[in-house]
Amino acid sequence: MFTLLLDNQTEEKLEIFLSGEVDIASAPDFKTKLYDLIGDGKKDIVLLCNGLKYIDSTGLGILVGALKKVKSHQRNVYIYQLRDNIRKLFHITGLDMVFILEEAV
Amino acid sequence: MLYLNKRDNKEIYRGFVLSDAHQACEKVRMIISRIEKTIGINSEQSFDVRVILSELLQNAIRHGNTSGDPKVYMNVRIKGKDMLNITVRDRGNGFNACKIMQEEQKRANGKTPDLTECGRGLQIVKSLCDDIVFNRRGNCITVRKRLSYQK
Repeated sequence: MFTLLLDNQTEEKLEIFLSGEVDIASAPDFKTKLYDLIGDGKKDIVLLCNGLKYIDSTGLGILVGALKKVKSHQRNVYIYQLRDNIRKLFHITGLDMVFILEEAV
Repeated sequence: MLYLNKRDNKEIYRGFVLSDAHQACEKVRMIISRIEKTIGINSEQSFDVRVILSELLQNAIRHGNTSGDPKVYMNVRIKGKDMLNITVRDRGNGFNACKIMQEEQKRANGKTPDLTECGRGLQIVKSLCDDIVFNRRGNCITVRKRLSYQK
């Protein structure tokens, strides 16, 4: 299972902690909760992912849906603190070129 | 943990997986646990194998059960010392493997990918494994991945 928590919000952005595992079983719940947090998509989204242990193509697709939502308001999705194995999935799929990923330390 | 030799053909799992997301996830976790007990793979490879198994099952469950029989056949074994073989077969009409290769090529060429919300599973599998073979109909995939022993 995953945990999705609103950490901080300003007029410009939402900071959201994402941890745990997003798999095919938890993906529908993840989609609902993430889209609820994003709302109308008028703020930048900052996802803090240092506790994210697993995500697959279903979860990535949900993140793409969130990106499309905020892009329609000229906003962006920033993804921070990804573990190397998950960052690799972003690279394989080319999604490292559409999300703004924090550079590896 | 076993030390396999080049003539070994160790069966990890063989059987049907129901087309239910929760059961599929449980099955994947069980198979990973058996592989870890058998060969002692490291956490990075364990992650990769979990992704491969999940993506193959998701693909078969979503697109492969047009016959009304909600089951997917899966065979997982370690051949020789360290070659993981995964076969997943469904009862669907198959798919176009060329499309996946084109996606891969598009990414390799540095073009920004489409913002579609699905269709990345097999692209990921292809990148994480050493070898992927589709049958002619496109409803059976065999994936091979060389594992390394945990040090």
